[in-house]
Order: sequence, then structure tokens, then C-alpha cells
Amino acid sequence: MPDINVLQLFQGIATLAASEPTIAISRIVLILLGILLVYCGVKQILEPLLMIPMGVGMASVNAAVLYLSANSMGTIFIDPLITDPAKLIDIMQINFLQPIYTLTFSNGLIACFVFMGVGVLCDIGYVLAAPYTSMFIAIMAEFGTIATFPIAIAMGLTAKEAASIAMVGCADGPMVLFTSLILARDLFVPISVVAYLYLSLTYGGYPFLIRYLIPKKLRGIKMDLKKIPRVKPGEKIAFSVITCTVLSLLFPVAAPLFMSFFLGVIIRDANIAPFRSFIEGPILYGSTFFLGLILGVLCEANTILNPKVFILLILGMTSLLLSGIGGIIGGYIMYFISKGEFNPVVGIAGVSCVPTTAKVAQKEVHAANLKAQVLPYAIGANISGVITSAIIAGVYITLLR
Amino acid sequence: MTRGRLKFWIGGTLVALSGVAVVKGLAPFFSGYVQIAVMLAGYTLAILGLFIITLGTRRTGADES
Repeated sequence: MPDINVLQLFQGIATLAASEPTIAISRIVLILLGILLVYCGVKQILEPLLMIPMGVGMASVNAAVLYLSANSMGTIFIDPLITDPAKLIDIMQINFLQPIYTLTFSNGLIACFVFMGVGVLCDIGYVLAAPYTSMFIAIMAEFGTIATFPIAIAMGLTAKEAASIAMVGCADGPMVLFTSLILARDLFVPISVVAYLYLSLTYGGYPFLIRYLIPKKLRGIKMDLKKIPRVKPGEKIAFSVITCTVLSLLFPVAAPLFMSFFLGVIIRDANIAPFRSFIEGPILYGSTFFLGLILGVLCEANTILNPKVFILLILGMTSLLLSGIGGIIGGYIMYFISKGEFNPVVGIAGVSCVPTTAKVAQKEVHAANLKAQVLPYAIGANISGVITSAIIAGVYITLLR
Repeated sequence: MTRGRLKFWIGGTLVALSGVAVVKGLAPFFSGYVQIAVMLAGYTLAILGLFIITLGTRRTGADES
């Protein structure tokens, strides 16, 4: 009977034993974190659409390290660091997720697909109904996106890395992904993972911020929905086309995002049912699934271990917190301008996590006053937030690239 | 669409496009702080144009009838 080397038989364990202690411990921690994400996803504590594929990917990739040659270890999932075209073609024949990563993820296509889906879900009529209020709140809710930039530089990040992590404050996953892919390619994996982890926490975290900063009496303010003007679909389409064109002319680097978003909006208002169901279903859900899976798979210990990760975790949280506070300050300013008719909770919806923050605002208002409705205003601020975030992404990329 | 509201659409579009022209056409002729100021003015003009367009979506009593 031949000698059987058990460790060679189970290479995942063999590579764990052969790795440096830091890497080995990180792999174990990431496997456990992946399992925890799946649990939180299944229990609906975190966003299941993202967290389940992400958690499975994270646990699996860290368990599946094998010997690629006598001296090198790796996986047959993805190699995000390959840049040489010839090697890339070779590796696409081996790594099963490499084609999806190379052809949809690393060029930002998947972010644009998600944005297209977001566009189909958004009714731009709410922005047009109260444009000044919506845009003002959205601009205020970009406080974190702007204020975190100098903080990040002070903490030792480069301007490009600082801009990428500051974008977490806009609470828009595809936007963070798109910006970090262009500006901070070496750090885009940890930045995107930090962004998506925090985004799934907004649903749980922002209600506490609202309750802490806004007294119950103000949270229950009933807004007059009869004042909201009705906007025709043709007007929404015309506005979308003009806005898309003007913003693309101003910020060509962010044009893929603008185009994807407004295309979704236009398809919705043009009521093209087959396209709408295609984008709402296969495109949006397919992209979200692969986005989660690829992000999880990219969380391999060797890729994600970076001394800057801890700083990114702090900055991501800071940015998101400041944006929430900025939005609420915007809500308060509108409350004073309107002489008490505007519910300041709407301010949180300026953070462009569509539609989560709008839903959070409505939920908190409803909890304070069962008869109060702010959803149309919140959705307007929410969609404006998407537009202002894309503009800020365009400004950062244009200035720093 | 009434003529009253059409003027906001046309005016807003022209203002927005002139903002683009200032950013892309005029700003490169300057340098330093002047360039930044001209660019900011252009961006503001472009966004202002989009706001003017939104005035064209307002319904009045006459429009509704």
C-alpha cells in the first residue's frame, strides 16, 4: 500500500499549516466571518441578497487555498492582481470566476448594471415635485463624503485612497466600487467590502441616530402631501435625458453611472414592460448576486490583509455617520425654513442608499405618529442623493485621476 | 405643454449647456485660482439650468384644467 500523505490529500488544511501564522489566523477568522455573514443574511439581520453570496464566497475562498506549484499557494477562484494580458488570458481558462471578474467587475460594468436597476426602481417625479428641498437635503447628506476626505489624508492615506473611502459616506455601493476601481485599485477590495458591510448596517444603525438627534415631537410632524405637484411621464423622461446629457458633458468619467441610472429611469417612465422586467429582474438580481459573490471571493486573506484596513474601517464608519448627521441637519434647516411644517427625519433619506434610508425615515416617522407620511419627500431626497453622489464621484475622479 | 412652461424648459437647457461651455470651453484658457473659479461658476450654472427646468414641471390651475 503506498504512503498516503494526509496533508497532501487535504490541501486546504496543508496550506493552512504551511502558511505564516498571520495568514493562517486571518484565513480562519475570514472563514468564520463568512459563516457569520451567511447566518446574519439568513436571519435578515443584514441584507440577505448580498450577504449570503458574500459570506459563502468568503468562507469558501479562504478554505480552498491549495498548492498551485511546488512553491506557490493560491486558489482557483480569482486572481485580482494579474495585469499582464497574456497571463490574464491563461488564468481565465483556469480560475472559474475570473471571466466574470475581469469582464464585468474590474471595468465597473456590474456597478453600472446595479445602477440601471436602481434607476428602474426610482420615480424621478418625486425629485421634480420638490427639487430644491430634495437637492438641498441631498447636498447636506454628502457631508461625510466631503468631510472624510481631509480626515483620511490626515490619517495617512493618499488623496486617491482618501476620496475612495470618503465615498462610503454616500452609502451607495456601486458608486464606491466604481470610484475605488478607478482611483485606488490596490485598495478597492477592502474599501468595497467595508462599504457593503456598513451599508447593510444602515437599516439597523440610522434609526438610533434619528432617535438620538430628533425628539419624538418633531419626528411625528405630519407633512402636507397635497402640495406635491403631479409630474407627467413625458416631463420626467425629458428631464432625465437633459440631465444625463449635461452631467455626462461635465463629468465624462462618471458618464457610465449617469447613463445607467437615467436609462433605468427613462425605461421606467416610458413603461417599456419587457425592458423594465428584464432590468428589475435578471439584470439587478443577477448583478447583485455576482457582486456579493465576487466581493466575498476577493476577501482572501492574502488580498485583504493590508495595514490600512483598520483605518478604512474607522473612516468608512466616520463617513457614513457624518453623512447621516449632515442629512439630519439639512432636515432641521428645512424645518426652520418651513416654519415647522417639514419633518426633519426626511433629512436621513438624503443619504443615497436607495430605498433603505427613505424606508428608515418613513418607519421612524410612523413609529412617532401613526398618521404621518413622509415617504414621497423621502424618496425625492433619496433619488437626489443618488444624483449628488454621482456628481461627487465625478468631481473626485476628474480632479484626482 | 403650455408656452409659459416651455420657456423654463428651453431657458433651463440653454443655461445648463452654457454652464458646460464655461467648464469645458472657457476654463481651460485660465490657470490657477481663476480657472478653479471659472469652473465652479460653470458647474453652478449647469446645475442652475437643471433647476430652472424643474420649474417647467410645476402644475398651475390652468394646466390642470
